[in-house]
Amino acid sequence: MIIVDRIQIIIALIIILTLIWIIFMIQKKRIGLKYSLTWIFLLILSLFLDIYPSTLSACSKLLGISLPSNMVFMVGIIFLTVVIFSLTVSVSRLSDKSTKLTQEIALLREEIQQIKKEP
Amino acid sequence: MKKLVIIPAYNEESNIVSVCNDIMTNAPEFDFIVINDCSKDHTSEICKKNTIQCLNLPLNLGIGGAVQAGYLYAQRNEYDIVVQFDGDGQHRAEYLNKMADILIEESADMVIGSRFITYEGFQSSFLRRLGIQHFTRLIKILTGKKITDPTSGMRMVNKDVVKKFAESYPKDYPEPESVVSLLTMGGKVIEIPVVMNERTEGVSSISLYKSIYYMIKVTLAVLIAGIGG
Repeated sequence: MIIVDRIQIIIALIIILTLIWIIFMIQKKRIGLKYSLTWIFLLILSLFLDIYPSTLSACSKLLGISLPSNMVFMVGIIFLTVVIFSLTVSVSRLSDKSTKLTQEIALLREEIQQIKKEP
Repeated sequence: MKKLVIIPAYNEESNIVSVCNDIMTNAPEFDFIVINDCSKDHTSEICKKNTIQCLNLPLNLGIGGAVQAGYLYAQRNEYDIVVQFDGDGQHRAEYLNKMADILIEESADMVIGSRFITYEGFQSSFLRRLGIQHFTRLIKILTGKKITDPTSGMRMVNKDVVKKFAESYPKDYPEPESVVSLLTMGGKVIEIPVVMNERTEGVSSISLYKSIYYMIKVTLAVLIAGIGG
């Protein structure tokens, strides 16, 4: 039998509202679908764990972690580290791209100047 | 043989004209182009007024990105020899022809103007020399070659290297790293003694505050470039 706690309902509401908000953001093209998939996946997973908290205890028992909350913290920190690292990678890539564009614009401007001078 | 001088400039309104005049009088065979790295002063206007050819970067890229823009320009306009020359008046154009002669005679890939062969002229501060010696030692260990002035911004390269630098060039503090990556690829690097001036106006791009960061970062970059080859 599943006993529903008040906190479970509150968390479920927060998750669902966040999901709706993210979908709204995607519709408005404020975030790309590519980048939102991680967050949608995370929210659905959290919702699942919120509804079936026993999976958490089962998982932590399987991994040999005595407190389920410790497992949540560990997994959470690992997940966030991966996300932040992938952001560092994208920032580097973006900065490379903007460098190329900046150089290209400068070169084109100079070429235009030359063409204007010629006739 | 087409020869180009790349002059990276950030806020050099007080130096840029005299630098260009120096090149026009002492190395007239060279074309030159100022790379204005989105200066906040009047560098761009002054270049325009004096009909100095100028690439105006719409965003500030830092020395590496600015110099690379120059190499891209050189590649597209098919220059055979390209030399980097600081926009702050530190370098003297009288050496450019000698550098070009050596580059051709020795069929070298890079010729660097070094302050630390004859130890004449402005020698930089004690701490900075210590830092430069550290890089000289590190490069010697990694590549077996002795580069007395790996941080010198006065360096001339041939067409192959222009192509390589146009494709990829380190972003900030690029000098030691680019020398190492050239050496590990089997490039021939020669140094000739030059005299440099103390910078007249403006401030060096490396303040004391940043020097520790500089040392760590460039050491790492040199190590990675050395291992990568």
